[in-house]
Amino acid sequence: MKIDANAVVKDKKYKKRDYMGLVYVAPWVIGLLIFQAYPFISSLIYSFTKYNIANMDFIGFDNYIRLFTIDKEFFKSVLVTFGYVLMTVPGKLIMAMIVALILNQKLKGINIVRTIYYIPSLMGGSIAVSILWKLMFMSDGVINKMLAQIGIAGPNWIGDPKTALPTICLLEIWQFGSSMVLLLAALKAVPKELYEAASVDGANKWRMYWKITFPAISPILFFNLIMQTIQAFQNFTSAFVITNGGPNKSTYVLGMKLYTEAFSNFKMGYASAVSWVMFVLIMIMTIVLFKTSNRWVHYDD
Amino acid sequence: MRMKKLLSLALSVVLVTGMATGCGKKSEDNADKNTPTPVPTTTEEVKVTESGYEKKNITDDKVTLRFMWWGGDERNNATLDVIDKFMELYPNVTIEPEYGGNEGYKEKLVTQLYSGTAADLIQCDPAWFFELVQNGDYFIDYNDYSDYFDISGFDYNLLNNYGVVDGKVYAVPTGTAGAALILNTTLADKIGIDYHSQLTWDSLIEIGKQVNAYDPNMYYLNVDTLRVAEQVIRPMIMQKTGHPFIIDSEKKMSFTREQLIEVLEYVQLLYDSKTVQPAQESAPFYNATETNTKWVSGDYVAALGFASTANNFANTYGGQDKNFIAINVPLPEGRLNDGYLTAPPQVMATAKTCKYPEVAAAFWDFFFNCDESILTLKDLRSVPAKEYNRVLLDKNQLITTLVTDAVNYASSYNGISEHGYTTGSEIAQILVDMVESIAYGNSTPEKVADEAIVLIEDFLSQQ
Repeated sequence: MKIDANAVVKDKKYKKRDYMGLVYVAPWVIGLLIFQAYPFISSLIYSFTKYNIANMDFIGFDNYIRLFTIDKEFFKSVLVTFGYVLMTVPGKLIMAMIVALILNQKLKGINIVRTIYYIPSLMGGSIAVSILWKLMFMSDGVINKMLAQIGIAGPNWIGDPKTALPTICLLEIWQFGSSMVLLLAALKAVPKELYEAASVDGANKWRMYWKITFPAISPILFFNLIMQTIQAFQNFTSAFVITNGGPNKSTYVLGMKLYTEAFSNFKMGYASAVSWVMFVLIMIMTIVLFKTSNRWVHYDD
Repeated sequence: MRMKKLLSLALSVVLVTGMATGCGKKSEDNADKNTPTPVPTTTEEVKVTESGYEKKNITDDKVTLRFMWWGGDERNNATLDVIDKFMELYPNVTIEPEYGGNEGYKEKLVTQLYSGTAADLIQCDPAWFFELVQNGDYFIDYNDYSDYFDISGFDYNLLNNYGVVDGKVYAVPTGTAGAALILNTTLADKIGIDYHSQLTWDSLIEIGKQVNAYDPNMYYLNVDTLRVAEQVIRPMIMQKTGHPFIIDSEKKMSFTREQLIEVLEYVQLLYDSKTVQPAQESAPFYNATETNTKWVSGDYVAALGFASTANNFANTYGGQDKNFIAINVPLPEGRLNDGYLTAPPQVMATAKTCKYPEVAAAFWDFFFNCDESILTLKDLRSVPAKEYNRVLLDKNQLITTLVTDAVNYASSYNGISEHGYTTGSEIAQILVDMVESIAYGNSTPEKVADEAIVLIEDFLSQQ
């Protein structure tokens, strides 16, 4: 068969059916443009304005200057948020790891137990769970009544500024299910032969964990760490429903600050500035974590 | 294919029977409701209610309006009753109720107003209503719908102070209320408290100590940090200066640093003397002090709240051994004015996005001016802001003495209207933050005052 060289060249031009590919990705592109790119860019623009919906005045960096010089509440809020992240992320990962290791054993009925452990995560950050938490940790709630049974006078969990933040963190840590499932899948993928070889060489369990298990699951652990950190920085629901940012601003996370400025104080521009600072903080944290990952995350290839 | 056809047939049958039974039930319900009044035999529409309230001449189109409010069970049920009665009179109109608690209400409403999805008929809090009016053109002017809604009977001052801006009537007051101090005389007598003499700020502390000495588990005054901010700090400042916390016209604070420190020292004393419950314990019941477990168990003598919620407090108080009365709030000698004032607990507005504003206006007319509605709504949004309504309720003995007394006390106070910057969200938040910094004992009145003044001045400079 003779091939016409010109025809081949012509064929390289897009055909009608090639454009179909664009049509297929269009829903995602449109979604990205409308729900991600548009709010992303407009909030950046708003952050340089004094914007109360009705009026918008361009004020340059005033919002950012106010945030860092006058608004003491903002610094407090950043500190609270870091406290929240530092408590929930390691707490959740350690919890998920321990439970995943336990559930990785071959036991009877282990599937049911796994499912039960996953249930809290199904409930997600919903309002209902937060309300449940509030009721459980009230001064005369279930938790304190149970503690009273064994002769311990429980603290005033959500009323005391010292215990309010840890109480909220507990809710997040309790929802370790999704991290646990990912870790469990990673554990299952570790080749059994490695353990057999190690035990032949006389390694103990502890050594096996650090030399075999941990490196093998470190990519998944890293993924969880990144996702949970981002999620924790953006927390809002539990702080809003359980304590409403109080008492005495002890649970006033950045999410609460952003919400209050936007929807109570009508300061959309200022709230946008808060959200951008939050975004930058998350970016920095993520970059730092990626940089450190070279040292402890092991990839097979 | 055959299966599909069969399935759709079966579904249609289910649907049709469902509709038929649904209709049947509805007409039965209607018949039940109509039994006391003669069912019209002709097809002619009902144009007048039993009490003689005349139907307005509105569109015949099928109209659906959404009505959004907050309230307790009693208020919700009465409001639903009025909605039903309205829909009986105007069969082409459907009013969809959207109600719940007041927590998060403002934030929800603001979001909806911004996005143009707010309900048509909206209950608002006068504390933040003007913030909304200032921020955009969200509400209709009732003057434009005077054929449908007669606003002539409303209390002149309440209407003008809380609903009118630049001659435009954006909202009408639901009732007349103000701060109320209610007290359980049974317990007060048991402890030996003198509640007949006029309270002062000092005597309040003395009584607080007396109660705590009687039983260390008991406290005199049920308040949270929000109530202390609104009903202790603000009135004390007004009593000292004769002005609201912020003087709007001059965009400045009405008080000096020393005056604010004095007031904050008093707040510290309130907590230190155990006149009020430690903030740690009352925090879970923020903005819902009537649900405080100590109140529910009857370990409080009195509560500071609003006349409009006096009944809620009396109802949630624990035990049968109670007899509530309203008493006068603390009024010290040498005050420049009483510091407390009368204000409507809510105002009713109509969204500009409403497609049938005349129907909305007709609804408000029915809500406020029809005898049946008045008798159903009673004092559930406090004592009505219209004399006619008050007289009607009184004649039918539908106002509780507790609420009437509380309102009478509130009406006697000569404080100056505070709405504006003082009640706006940012100053309100600064006030609460001040109280919390003191109540949790991690700052001194001087430090708190200095920090607050910086924030207030910054806020005012932006206005």
